[in-house]
Amino acid sequence: MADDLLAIHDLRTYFYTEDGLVKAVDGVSFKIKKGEVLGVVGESGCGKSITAMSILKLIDPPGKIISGDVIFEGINLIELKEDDIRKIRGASISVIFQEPMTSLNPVFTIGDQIGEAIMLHQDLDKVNARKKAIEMLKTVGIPRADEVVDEYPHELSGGMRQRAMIAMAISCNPKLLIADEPTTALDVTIQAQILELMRNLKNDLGSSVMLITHDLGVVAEMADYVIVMYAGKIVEEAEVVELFKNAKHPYTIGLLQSKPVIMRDEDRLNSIPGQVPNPLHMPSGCYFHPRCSHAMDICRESQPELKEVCEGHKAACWLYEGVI
Amino acid sequence: MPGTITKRGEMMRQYITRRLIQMIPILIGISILLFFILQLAPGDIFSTMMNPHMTAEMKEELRHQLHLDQPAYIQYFYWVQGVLKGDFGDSFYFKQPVTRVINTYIWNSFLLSLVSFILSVIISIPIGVISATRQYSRFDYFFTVVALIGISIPSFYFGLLLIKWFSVDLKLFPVSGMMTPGVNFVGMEKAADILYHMALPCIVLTLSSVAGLMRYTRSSMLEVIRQDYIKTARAKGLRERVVIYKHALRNAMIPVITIFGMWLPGLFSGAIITESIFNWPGIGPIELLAVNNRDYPLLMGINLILALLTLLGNLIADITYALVDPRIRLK
Ligand SMILES: Nc1ncnc2c1ncn2[C@@H]1O[C@H](COP(=O)(O)OP(=O)(O)O)[C@@H](O)[C@H]1O
Ligand code: SF4
Ligand SMILES: [Mg+2]
Repeated sequence: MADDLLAIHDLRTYFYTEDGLVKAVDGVSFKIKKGEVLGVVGESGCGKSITAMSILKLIDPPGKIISGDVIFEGINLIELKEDDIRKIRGASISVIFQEPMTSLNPVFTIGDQIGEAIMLHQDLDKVNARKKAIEMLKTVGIPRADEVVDEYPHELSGGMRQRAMIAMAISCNPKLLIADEPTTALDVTIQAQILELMRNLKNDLGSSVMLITHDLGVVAEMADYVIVMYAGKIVEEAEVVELFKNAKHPYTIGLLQSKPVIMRDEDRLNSIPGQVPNPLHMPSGCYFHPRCSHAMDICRESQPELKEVCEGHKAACWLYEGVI
Repeated sequence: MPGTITKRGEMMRQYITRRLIQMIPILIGISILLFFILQLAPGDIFSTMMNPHMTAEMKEELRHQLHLDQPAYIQYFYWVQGVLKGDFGDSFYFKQPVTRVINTYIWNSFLLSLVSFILSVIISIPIGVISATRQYSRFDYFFTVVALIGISIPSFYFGLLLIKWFSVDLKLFPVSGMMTPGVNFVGMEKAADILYHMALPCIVLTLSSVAGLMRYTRSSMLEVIRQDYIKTARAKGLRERVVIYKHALRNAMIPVITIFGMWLPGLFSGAIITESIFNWPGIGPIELLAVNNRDYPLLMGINLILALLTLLGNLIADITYALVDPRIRLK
């Protein structure tokens, strides 16, 4: 469709570990429209980051993208050579990572690190790249930008570093911004500020955002459309209002019920009974069945497919088989 | 910004001055300790010197002249008195000023050690980096084995092996020494002659230090390439070469560079075994000679220089650490 910026079809990224095969991303398909914020939620280890990194082909051995298409502006990124996809990384698609404390290189100044991306993707020399870096730091609301540009990451607070990361990510006007748990490591007040900043920037730049989080509160605030992942697969997807009002999959319902009033409560995701399955020994049938209170015989035998359960709302669960 | 740079330079100057001043009491302490430890060893120069022409009276007379008949602390004060005037005394064995003996041999050791040090750095760092970026590849396994051999093969054995192969069998290199005897080369020819003699001992020393440095670089690099900022660098669209040799190497070298300072005394201390095998006129065999002959003034001189170099090496390590890692502040 014309208004799709990114379309992923049947993406599979596996890890060939010493202990065996880990299907980190196991047949995932979704789309991101222009200007849309896609929320990707799920417990830790369900394959959110690997899905995101597969888009840019940033998977290190023993991981490998086995199959799938990642169509970005009509080009299949999976088929691109390293030299060609490098021109997309940091330019039309850029990433903000979870840990502002460790995501910036400790031995280079903030200005050097932002300027590096600018010089690489825009035809600017060192002096102008520096000017642009200062401008970007101002854009993301860093005070004393003309001093901070010469400071090292350790001289900044976590929130300021994450702002610097965002400055770096948006410095080349990306069409898609992948934010992998951008606020998880931050204090609640700083979290709110960073989310506010991202929302404003997104509106100004008109970029699409793939917002990865395990925090449903963040999704509710930011996302237009939501996909829920479990054990490398999408188990439910819908527009944000529909999903929160009318969640179908027992896993999503569990996530919603365990969402506490206070946003950063580490315990909240543990309130779905049981644990994320060991990726080396996936259960038979529906991967969620050992933890599901609705599990039926068929759930243990055969895997449900992701299907429309009502208009614009898909779920992979035997409870809804034959609903439409 | 020029302001911060001068401020940093000023702080650095103060720091270095303070550290240098702190070295004085440390060196005094070390000299006392050394002096008395040496005194603990039984016997003196005359108990090992088998000179048939020397009568017991003559020995007593000489002992008296050298203050060897005095208590250790008196001897120490005599020694300090001399040192303060720049006189480290005369070597018992060489019957020459200690400074002259050291000066004659130490630069030969330095030359050999420096060349092999530079070679090891040039060889081992790229290998360490490539081994890390291609962990478990054939390249990595090959150099793991080389490192294992380098670490476990004794230098006397490896040295003799090289002499057998390259000097005796193939006649490619001289068996020993530092210059061709009986020929007076000058300028470039002299340098070439020395290099020619240096080749084999240099290989022995280089192999053993390459092994360690290579593994050290490799593990440091492996640690760094797992870091988040490397992912950030890749996600920016940088070439893999830039990611590795700019973003990763700069961080991986921090612990490696700091050990270079620690190597400073090693550049001057002489490789006793290798120098002995190749008859290299370095300070290593002289140290052995001094120990065997209870040549206290010479031992004190050599050890004090090495102590000073160790302290300087530590200081250099701390300074380089602060220079390469912006997170480190000199205090
Ligand atoms: N380097 C790796 N080696 C082996 N398995 C990995 C590696 N990285 C990720 N995985 C597997 O991929 C799964 C998904 O990881 P990830 O996408 O990081 O989860 P998250 O949803 O928390 O971002 C994990 O359960 C893990 O088992
Ligand atoms: S398919 Fe069965 S086990 Fe899986 S979520 Fe639905 S009801 Fe639960
Ligand atoms: Mg993750």
